[in-house]
Amino acid sequence: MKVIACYSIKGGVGKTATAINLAYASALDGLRTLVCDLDPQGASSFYFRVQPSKNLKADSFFTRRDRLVRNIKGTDYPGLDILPANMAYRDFDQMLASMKKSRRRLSQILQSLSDEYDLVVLDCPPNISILSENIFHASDQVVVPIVPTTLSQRTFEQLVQFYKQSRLNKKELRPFFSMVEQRKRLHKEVRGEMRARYKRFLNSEVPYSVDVENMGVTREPVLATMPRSNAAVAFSQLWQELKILRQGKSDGN
Amino acid sequence: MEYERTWRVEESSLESSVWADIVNPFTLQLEQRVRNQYQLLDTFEGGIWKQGDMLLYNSISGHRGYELWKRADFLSGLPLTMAQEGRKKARFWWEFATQEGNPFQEQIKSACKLRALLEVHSFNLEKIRYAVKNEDLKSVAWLELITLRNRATDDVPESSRQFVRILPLRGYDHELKKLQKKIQQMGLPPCSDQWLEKYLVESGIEPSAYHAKPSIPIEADDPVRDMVLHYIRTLLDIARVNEAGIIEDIDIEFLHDYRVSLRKIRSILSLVRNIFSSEQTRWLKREFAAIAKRTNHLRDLDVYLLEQENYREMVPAALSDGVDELFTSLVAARKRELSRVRRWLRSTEYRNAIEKLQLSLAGEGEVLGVGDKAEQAVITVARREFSKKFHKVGKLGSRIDASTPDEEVHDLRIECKKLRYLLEFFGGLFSRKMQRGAVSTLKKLQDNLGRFNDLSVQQESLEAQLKAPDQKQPPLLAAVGGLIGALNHEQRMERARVTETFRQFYSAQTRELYAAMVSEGESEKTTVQSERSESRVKGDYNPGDSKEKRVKK
Repeated sequence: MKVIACYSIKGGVGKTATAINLAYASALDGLRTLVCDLDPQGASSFYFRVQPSKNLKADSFFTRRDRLVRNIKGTDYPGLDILPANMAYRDFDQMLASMKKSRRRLSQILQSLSDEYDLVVLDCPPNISILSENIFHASDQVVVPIVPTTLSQRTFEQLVQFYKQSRLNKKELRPFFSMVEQRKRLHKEVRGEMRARYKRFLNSEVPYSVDVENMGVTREPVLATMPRSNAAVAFSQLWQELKILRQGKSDGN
Repeated sequence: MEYERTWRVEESSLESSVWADIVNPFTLQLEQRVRNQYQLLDTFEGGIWKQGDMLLYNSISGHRGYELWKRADFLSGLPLTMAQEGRKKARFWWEFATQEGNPFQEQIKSACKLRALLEVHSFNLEKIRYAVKNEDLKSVAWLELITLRNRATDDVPESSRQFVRILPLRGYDHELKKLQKKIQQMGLPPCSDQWLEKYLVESGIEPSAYHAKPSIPIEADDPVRDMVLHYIRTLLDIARVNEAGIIEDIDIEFLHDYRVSLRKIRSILSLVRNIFSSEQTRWLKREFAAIAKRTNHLRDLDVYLLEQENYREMVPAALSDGVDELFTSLVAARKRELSRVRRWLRSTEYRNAIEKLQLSLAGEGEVLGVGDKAEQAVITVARREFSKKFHKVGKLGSRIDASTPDEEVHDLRIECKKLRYLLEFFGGLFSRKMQRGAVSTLKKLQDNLGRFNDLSVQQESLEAQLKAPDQKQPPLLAAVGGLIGALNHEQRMERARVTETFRQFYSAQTRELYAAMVSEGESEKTTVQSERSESRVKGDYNPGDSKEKRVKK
């Protein structure tokens, strides 16, 4: 089982859209896939029309596998399940801080699902916290959507710094450009600069798209509703790129 | 409470107010409509069906090809494996066009063996899938309407069957139960998960109906004449069921089963004596022998052609052109022989002969006369015959050493075969364990003797090739010569093993087993005793023996 996190310190960068489209592409490829909605706002859950988990408290999330499993729901797509979000997730940090091995808790609980799933996609809340550290430890790849603006550039640098300080493996950070507008000069400049600076940028770029915005209305992955749209093609390419990386990694083991 | 998952329905769509009411507060949304045109394929014996699988050929465009399903998973999971349609229609397991690494051939190999695949049944399957949506338009389950239509009786309305089944979605157990309960309340007849089997049975399809071995209930106290009559009648029916397959040349097992049935009839006629009048017994034997003889040559040729690959490997590459030529002529000979057998099976002469036999065997009364042993109890006859035959095998076998002439080895083989038929005929009188023990120990000896015999038959008929007056090309003659040499070598190797295989068969353990079978007080106790003696005998073995055996292997 592999774990991919869709993570960003900043909100509104297309993180959830990325998570659910990657998960959809994975299930389409025949991988048993679970989306784990860690964001208390529950955007992934909303996109899959799934109500929040009712009886899953923050503490049992990390300690009670049976309760967690009971809250998993099938989406409308074969091979794709979701663990919906819950407002109680706001207490994650407080919860984790009081636990032993507080940085490995997520990793542990996710590994207990490895006989059921081939891939877990984490949709993460936009902040940097003990939960984020858990996410970094648990993931094989941390996919970071970056809108090519100066501010995004800064927050990504903060993330890289955090990785350095925490002695995490920087190679697992996989930034890509999201909500790209070809006509904006700033977008072009930032992309050029950042690609020159960070070698591990993914090649795929997801354009800014009305179709992605409309996902809030259709409540389905754009890959399912408009598989030929520019955004869908970009997500599909992004998945292919990550898939190659995943295979490369597991072959190396 | 456990709820059903599948129900019989009459309608061809769920888009009705009735179903809207059933699923309320949920709604139905048509999601997918799939049509398949299936042919159910299996061997004459239903080998694939018996292994719990199902081989389907789908002829609908876009999905054309073969699908092998675990029957229990049909339409729920995915097929075990699939194979594409090749240029030629595949009839045998080795003819399926599969890519390297595709386990398709392997998965049907042991179920098919030498058997050809036949169309058992054709049906259309239509599947309409509806998502059951909640107020968020999220699916909470699926309902599938499945329509099966028998293509053979397309115009008959009753030939179609409809089922509704509910497919659960993870995390929506509550909604599932609610739906199940409401459907149940409609009073629809529930249907087991084996709805496809049910449909086939109702359409009169039973893929595994044929059994080459008759299974006849046997009672120790029954008069032996009735039992033998019943047995022979069943065997003759089995033989006759195979006639069509021989005529159509579907595969070579039809002829094989036909001949085995006749041979068993003839064996039982000689093994169990004085149950009909001696005149009638002679007549029966004569008739059955004459019928069996008609197919001897065709069977020999079948066995040859089976050996084709082995023959090629037996001779040096330089002789392979000759082997090709030999097989070309054998194929031609088989073709000629097949049409002769066909003509014979279709002839009035054959029909009259076999029907007369069937009529006499069916006669309840005195048609075949009543011999003086006719009323003896089955068990009495069984004990007597086992005792006689086992002693005879023992006597013949014990005499064999390296210098014994081949004829005596052949005699031993024939007696073993008779013992085997006795076991098949009377075996049901004894415990399963005894039966199995007796058969398995005998089988090893029979295999050895059988191979020895086959090799000698093959040499003889190759020698006949050499002596035949027709003009033959030097490469063919050279190949025949090479083959005879190789076969002779193999035969000597088989021959060298006979003494040892016999010794293993005629162990103290086997002797005790037969002693228990023929003694009056046959019971579970004797079985236990023979088990104990097994360990004792094993202890007596000279360790050098097993080493020798291993080297030979």
